[in-house]
Amino acid sequence: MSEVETAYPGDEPPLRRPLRPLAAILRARDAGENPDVIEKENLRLRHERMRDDAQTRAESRLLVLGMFFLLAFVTVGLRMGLLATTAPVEPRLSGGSNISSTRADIIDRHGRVLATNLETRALYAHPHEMVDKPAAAKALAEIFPDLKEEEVLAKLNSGRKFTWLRKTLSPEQIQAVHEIGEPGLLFAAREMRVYPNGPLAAHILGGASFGDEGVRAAEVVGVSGVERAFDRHLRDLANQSQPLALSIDMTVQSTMREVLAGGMNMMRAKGASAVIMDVHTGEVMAMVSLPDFDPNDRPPLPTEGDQADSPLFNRAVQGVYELGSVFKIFTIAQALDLGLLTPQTMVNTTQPLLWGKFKIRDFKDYGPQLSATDVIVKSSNTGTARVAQQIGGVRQRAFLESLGFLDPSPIQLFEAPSARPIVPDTWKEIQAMTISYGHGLSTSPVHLAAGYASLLNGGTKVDPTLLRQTGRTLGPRVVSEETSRAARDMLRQVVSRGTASFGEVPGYAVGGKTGTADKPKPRGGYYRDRVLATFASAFPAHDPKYVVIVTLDEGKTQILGKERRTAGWIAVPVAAELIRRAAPLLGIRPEIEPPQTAGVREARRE
Amino acid sequence: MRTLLALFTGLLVLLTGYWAYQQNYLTRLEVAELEKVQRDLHMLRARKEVLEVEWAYLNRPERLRRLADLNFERLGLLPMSPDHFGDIDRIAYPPRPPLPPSNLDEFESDELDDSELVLAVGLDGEVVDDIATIQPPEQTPDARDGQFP
Repeated sequence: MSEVETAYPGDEPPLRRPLRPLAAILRARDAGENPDVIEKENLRLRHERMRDDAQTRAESRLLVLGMFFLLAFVTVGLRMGLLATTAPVEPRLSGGSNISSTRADIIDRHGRVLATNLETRALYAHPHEMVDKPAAAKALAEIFPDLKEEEVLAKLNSGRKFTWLRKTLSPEQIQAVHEIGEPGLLFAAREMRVYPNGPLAAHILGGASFGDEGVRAAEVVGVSGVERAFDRHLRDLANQSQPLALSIDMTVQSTMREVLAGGMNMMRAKGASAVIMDVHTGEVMAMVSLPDFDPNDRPPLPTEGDQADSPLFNRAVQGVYELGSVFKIFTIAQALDLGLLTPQTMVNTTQPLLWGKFKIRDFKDYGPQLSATDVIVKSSNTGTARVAQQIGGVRQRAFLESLGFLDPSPIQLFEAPSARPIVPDTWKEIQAMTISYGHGLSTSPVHLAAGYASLLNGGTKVDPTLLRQTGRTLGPRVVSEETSRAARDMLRQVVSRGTASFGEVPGYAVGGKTGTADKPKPRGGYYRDRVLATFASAFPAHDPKYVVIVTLDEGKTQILGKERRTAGWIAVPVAAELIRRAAPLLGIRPEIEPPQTAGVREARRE
Repeated sequence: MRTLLALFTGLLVLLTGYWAYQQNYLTRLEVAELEKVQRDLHMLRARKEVLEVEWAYLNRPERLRRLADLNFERLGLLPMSPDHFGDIDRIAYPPRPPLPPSNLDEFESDELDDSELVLAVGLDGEVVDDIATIQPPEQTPDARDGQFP
C-alpha cells in the first residue's frame, strides 16, 4: 500500500483528499486491481487523521483544566497554611463597646452606691513554665498571709499544668507578685463585687461570688438576698447602665443599725431585727438583722448548730416567730370591721378562760370586764380570745390571709419564698383563740410590718417591696377607713397610757402594740425564761407615714431591782430611740398631735 | 493615538494604586488611633470605677459618723434629732427701713443716705447708678407709675 500513501509525495495534505483519486484508480484498473481498495485505504487514513486531531484537542483542554484546578488548590492550600500559621487576632474594631462592668450596680433610694464592681486580677500558675518552684512558693506565702507555703508547693508539684492560686488581688499584691519574676505565675482578668458600706445592708444585699471561672473573665453570681433575687436582671447586658434602685435609705439604714446594735447590747439580747416601712407604698426604708456580716467577706454557711443563730440568717425575713400580743389589734380590728364591737363595747375578761384542757390567763388580773380599747391597751389575752370566739376560725383565717400572713412574703429577697409562715393544720376555735393573741401562727417581722401598714394606712393592702416605687397604687381594701382610724386610736392609747409608755416620742405621736412571746422549744412546749420581745408601731398615729417593727431575741434588763423581759421594757425603748433618730431623717417634722376629738383628719392622701 | 491611550491608562493605574495605598495607610492609622482611644477610654472608665468605689467607701455612714465625732470640737455636728427642726414663725422679720422724711424738698440729692437709696431703688425696681439724677418722688409724678423720666 506504500504507493497509495505516496500518491502525493511531499505534498501538504489538502483540506480534503478525494477518496478515489482518478490517477490511482486508472492505474489500478490498468493493473487489474480492485479500485475499491484504494478508496477504503484513503477512508482509513482520513479517519486516523481525524482521530489524531481530536486527541490533541482533548489533551490541550485537559491540560488547561488541570492547570486551573492546580491553581485553585494551590490558592486554597496557601490560604489554609497562612491561617494555620498566623496567631489569631480579634477584630480590631469592635463597634465601640460602652460596657465597663459585667454586673449592674445597686443603689439606694437617693442614688448612693450600695454595690458596685471593681477590676482586679486572679492569680494562677503554669507549673511547667516555672523556674524555681520552692522560691516562688516561699515568696507567695510571704505576700499572702492566707496562703501556706507547703500547700502552694504541693499545688505546684501536683503535676498539673494549670492551677488557681488566689481569687482576688489588690494592686500592691499584683506588683509584689510581678517582683517575684517567675514566668509561670500569671494573672487572669477579674471583676469583683464590692460593697463599700460593709455590713450596713448585708442581709438585704446578700452577696456575690464567682461562678464559671476562666482566664479572661469570671462570672459574678449573686448568692443570696437582692443579688440573687435579681441575678438575671443584674447580669442582663441591657441593664448594665441602669443601676438597680432599692427602696432603702442608706442614712436611715445606718442610723437604725447603730440604734439597734446599741439596744441589743444594752438589753443583752442575742439577736435583734428592725424594719421601717412606708405605710402607703410598702417600701422598706430600712431593714436590719443583727448579728450581721460583711458581704465583701461572706462567712460560709454554718454546717452545724441552729441556722437561725448564724449571722447570715435574716431575722426580719427568714425568721418566722410567734410574735405574740402584737396580733391582738388584728383580732379587735376585724371585730370592729364586722360590727361585732365598738371601741367602747365591754368585753368579758374574767380569769382564767377555760377551753377544754386549755387555760388562758392574762399577765395579771384586769377585773371582770374591759372596754375593747382597754383590751388592747392592757393587752388582755382572755378578752382577745373571747372576741376571737365570736369571730370564728373561718373568718379569722380569711382575714389574716387577706393581710398576707399565710403566704411567704412577696419581698424581693432570695430567702423570702422559702420563709413560709407556720400555719396550724386545723384552724378550729382553740386555734382561733390562741392566734388572736399571736400564738400558734408564726410569721416574720416583715409580714407584721406589711400587716400593720395595711391595717393603719386607711385599710388597703400593702405588699412589702425593696424596690424604689414611683407613685402609689391602691391595693384591695382589707378593712374600712373607720376601722383603720379606730385601730390607730387604740394603738396610740397603748403608748400614751398602756404597756408601751416608753414609746412616747415628743412630736411624733407614736402608736403601737407590744408583744412578748415565749419562745417555743425545738421539741415542743415553751421556754419559761426566753422571750421574743416585739414592738410594732406606726407614727404619727393620726396620719401614719411609717411602720416600725423592732424585735429583740432573748433580751433582759435589770430595772428597779427586777429582771424585766417584757416588750414594754425591752423593745419599746429601743423603738422609741429609733423613731426619735430616724423620723427626722425621713423628713418628718415633729408636730403637735391633734386632740383625740378632732377625728376629722384622714390618713389617706390620694 | 493608541500609545497615548496606553500611556494615559498606565498613568491612571499608577495614580489609583497610589491613592488606594494612601487610603489603606490612612485607615490603618485611624484604626490605631481608635484603638488607642478605646484603650484610654477603658482605662479611664476603670479609674472612674475605682474612684467611685473609693468615694462610696470614704463616704460610708459609719466613717462619716466617726469623723464627725473626732471633729466635734471644731464642727459641733450631732446626729439629727427632732429638735433640729425650726419653725418659720420663730424667724424674725428683717428690720424695716426707717420711713423717709416727710420734707424731702429740703434734702440735696447728693445727701441721700442709704435708706433713701432703698426708696429710690424701690420705685422702679432697678438700681440707678447716678443717684444725683433721682428727684424726690413728690416732684416727679411719673415716678409713681414706676417710670423715671
